[in-house]
Amino acid sequence: MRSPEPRRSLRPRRRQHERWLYPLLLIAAMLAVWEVGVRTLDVPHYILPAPSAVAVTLVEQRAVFARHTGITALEVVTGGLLGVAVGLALGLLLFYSPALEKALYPLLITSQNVPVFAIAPLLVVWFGYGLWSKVVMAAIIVFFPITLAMLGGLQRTDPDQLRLFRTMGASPRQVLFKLRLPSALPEIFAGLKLGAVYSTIGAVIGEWVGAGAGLGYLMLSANAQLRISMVFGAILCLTPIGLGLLGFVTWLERRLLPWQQLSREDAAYDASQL
Amino acid sequence: MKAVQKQTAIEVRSLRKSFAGAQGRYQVLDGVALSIAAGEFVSLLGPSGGGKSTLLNILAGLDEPDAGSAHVLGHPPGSHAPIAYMQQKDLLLPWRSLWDNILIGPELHSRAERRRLEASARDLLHEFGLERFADAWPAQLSGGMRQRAALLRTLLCEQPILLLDEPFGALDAITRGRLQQMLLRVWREFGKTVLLVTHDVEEALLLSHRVIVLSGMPGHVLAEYPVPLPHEARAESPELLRMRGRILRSLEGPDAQP
Repeated sequence: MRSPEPRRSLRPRRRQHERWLYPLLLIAAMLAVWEVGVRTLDVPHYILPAPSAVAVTLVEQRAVFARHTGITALEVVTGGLLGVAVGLALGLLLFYSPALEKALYPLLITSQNVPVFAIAPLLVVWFGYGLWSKVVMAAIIVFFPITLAMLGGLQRTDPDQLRLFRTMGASPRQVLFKLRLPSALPEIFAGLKLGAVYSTIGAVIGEWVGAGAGLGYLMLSANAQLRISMVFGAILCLTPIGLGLLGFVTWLERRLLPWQQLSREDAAYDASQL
Repeated sequence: MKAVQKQTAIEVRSLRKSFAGAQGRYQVLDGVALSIAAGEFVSLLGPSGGGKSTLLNILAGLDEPDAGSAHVLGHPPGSHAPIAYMQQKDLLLPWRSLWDNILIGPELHSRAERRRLEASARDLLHEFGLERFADAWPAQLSGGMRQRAALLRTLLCEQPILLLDEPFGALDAITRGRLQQMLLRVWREFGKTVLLVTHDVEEALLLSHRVIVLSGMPGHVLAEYPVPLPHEARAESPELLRMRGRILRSLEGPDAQP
């Protein structure tokens, strides 16, 4: 008989390096083609700078990039958190009030068809040029998938498990905290991952429409001055914000939902174990 | 076995229940009446769709009867009825370890109740051969282990009456046999009243004092068969084989009889 060793077998470690090796090789190859192409074809730097030129700009202007990255990161995280909070609360509210769900749901769906660009100028008017118009922009994009995830997750509780809880005399509070919310967590995390990506988009759109700082602002102003290596630098600085957020959500999911990491092989303790 | 005929655990009188279906309402239970004494082990046999689960659901307070009455230890069914209900699916919560799964019943009651039962939970875990798997997630357990855990959870609700709805239906023959013996041991040890729904005539005859046969739709009690043998003498008893034949014939209905 094997021993189950449940906590250790959660994540298969093998082939971990292959997950990184191949994408890194591909990126290196693409950069090489880009560098050689720009040099041999003599492409002007204001059309497409070589990767080496972007790297030089990144190093030389590191103080500028650091400042704007910090501002955008703050907007992304604050806006994301606000969107998540509103989304979770709204999802819970819609779940417990079917009347509200009926009234609000079509409105929510319709509102999602309004391009966010259309409301961005309004947000600048209402919340100013500073941090808050971007935070609200990010929150507006983020809350919707979170609301849907929360509502859907709460609605899809296994009816048989609900009946089990009823026969065990569980209170509505216990049903929510010990059954509905835990079984909604995988769906909520799927929503959070979308939110992590959307939040960056929201903040940058906010910055494009009206801002005095941030990576979106930096991109636009550098673009207008044809400092394209600066634009690429800003894009490069933007990536780790979204990826970092996504990584954090994924890490949190692994911590909070370890049972989800079980692979099919782990589950197959066959009947001979009995 | 006659000593237990003192208190009535389950009393059902002319119970009727219908559900809305595609072609109007259809009657599931039509005048079901039965009485189960405290400490008795009774099996409910019948064709599938014959309302056996509906009867358990009514006793568990999950469904309301259209007419008639049901009483559990003298009280109408409800969320605080003294029953523990085990269904065919194990319904283990995937986010809880086996240990936290089997203690959910007392935990819903209070933290102190959970602490009080942890010692007996440990003993039962050992008795059921699951102590090495206390920290495992349900997804890491085999079907037989999961079903044993579900039975443990049902027992740890500490209710005097167990309603079991085809609890071993999805298991292979060997696993099923072992779990049947465990159930029998637990029933003896704790003096529970058991109402077991099954479609397996052998299972009913091996385990119970009395086998009640329900008809198909609409369901009513067709026949009752007391099993007069002690449990130890049942395996391969010719008497039991004869009963099995009689029960199977009654299940096939009056048309099938010669």
